[in-house]
Amino acid sequence: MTLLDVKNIDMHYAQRTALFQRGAKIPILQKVTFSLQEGECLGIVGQSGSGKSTLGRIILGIERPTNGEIFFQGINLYESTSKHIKIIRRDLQAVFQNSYHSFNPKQTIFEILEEPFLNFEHFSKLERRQKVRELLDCVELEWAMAQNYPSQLSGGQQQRVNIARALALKPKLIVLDEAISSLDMILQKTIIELLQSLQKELQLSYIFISHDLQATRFMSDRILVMQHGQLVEEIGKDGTYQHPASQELHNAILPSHPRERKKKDRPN
Amino acid sequence: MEKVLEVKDLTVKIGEKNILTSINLTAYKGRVLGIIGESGSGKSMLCHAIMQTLPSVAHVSQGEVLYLQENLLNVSAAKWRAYRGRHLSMILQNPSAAFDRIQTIEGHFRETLKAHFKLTKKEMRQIALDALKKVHLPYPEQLLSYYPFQLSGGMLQRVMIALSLAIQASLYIADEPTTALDTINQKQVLTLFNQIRSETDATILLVTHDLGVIAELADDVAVMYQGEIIEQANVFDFFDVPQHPYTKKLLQARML
Repeated sequence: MTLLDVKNIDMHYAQRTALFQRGAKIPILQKVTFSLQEGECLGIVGQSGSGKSTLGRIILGIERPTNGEIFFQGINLYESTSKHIKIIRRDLQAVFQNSYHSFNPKQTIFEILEEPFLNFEHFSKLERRQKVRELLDCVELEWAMAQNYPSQLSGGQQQRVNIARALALKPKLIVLDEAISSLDMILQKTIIELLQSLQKELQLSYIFISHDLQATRFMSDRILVMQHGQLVEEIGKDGTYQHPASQELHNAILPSHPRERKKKDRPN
Repeated sequence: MEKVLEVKDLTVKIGEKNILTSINLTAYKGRVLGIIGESGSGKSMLCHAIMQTLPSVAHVSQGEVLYLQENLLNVSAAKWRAYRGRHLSMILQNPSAAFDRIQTIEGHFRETLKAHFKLTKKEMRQIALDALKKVHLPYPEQLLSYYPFQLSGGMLQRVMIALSLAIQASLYIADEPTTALDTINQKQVLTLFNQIRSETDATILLVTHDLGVIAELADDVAVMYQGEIIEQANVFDFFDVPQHPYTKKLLQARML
């Protein structure tokens, strides 16, 4: 079943040439169309500035597109009443790259993870406690950590708390915007494995936004390649591609062994 | 092979706690020494200890840092000024934070060149243009009048390398130079380092947490773990016959 339908999204920012004066419109996204099935992980790759994150924010409802429509479970995200949106909101979650800045530094981990329940559920204090405990379990963090503040956690632990918070309301879709890019390699692998096992367990769908083709391949069922605000190609399961933008991303993959150095520099 | 940098039995403490424990390292002329380790392993502290830019709470409790046989830890402040940024150059992780935001790119070149050489404005401009061309930045003339915020992260990182090129540094200490860049820019910057190494015979100390960066560029590898160097090897031996359990774990984290 189709979970998300993105239709003809355009996004422009107005360039400000002088104070109070609006200049030329800069297109950030042009005619972006794709759909996402339930339980699927869709990768979106592209160079920085290609519009990946803007697309992610539009899907999340943080930014309104200039033109186009987005249907999430058949409901138009930008035409529905706020009551409808609130119902959708809990099924649509996000994890961003900078884990620390995604938290309120004055909240403890417990308060951070409790907040989704306060907003959307009518749980008793005891139930909330139980839920937070389950969430921490889910991302393999100790219960004792709940009393800590985000600054006391390492980057990898913070990112796990972010994932736990995104999972709290049992969403259908999580947008992962460069969610593993700032972690070191061992942590990247741990987090990817965690995301994959959670996906199976909870029947989640992911949109995995990254500039790293290799990590995206590892994670995704299908990959959309973006360049200058447009979707230029879809890389399927077989991994073949034609577009120069895909080629460029492929060439940028670093070798896994020094023996492969020279070989990689040659095309194909 | 000529030894350019030698770190001997270096220990750095914060209070009574060891941050780095008897580090031994050697970097050779024209070679890239990769230092790999996870976040918090002390990689950046090592760079700062070599450059003597340690935070005030930390101090070197023992050991030597030899640059061309001279112990940098005993060098006077005035002499250090001549070394730092002239012979030893540091490339930082976050290019957008490393620049002065109210100075143009030309201003940065002037400031750097003035600190070490007596040159006219015209000469400085020419050196800057040559350096920017060497790092493959388009439209170098226009670029000189830009402010840092007008350039992307990848471009700024190349400007930072161009600044080191302009003063013809002989030892580059690159602390996670590509971590903040996307993969395409990362590849370009690494290719650039390789080119500098082969053209100027400079020594590069490349600190990273990414095995791909090591596989792409390093000649020798040192593995850091909890403030210690636990393994040091030729890059091929490092990948083929890892010794330490942590190195093995690191290699298993590769995705393919």
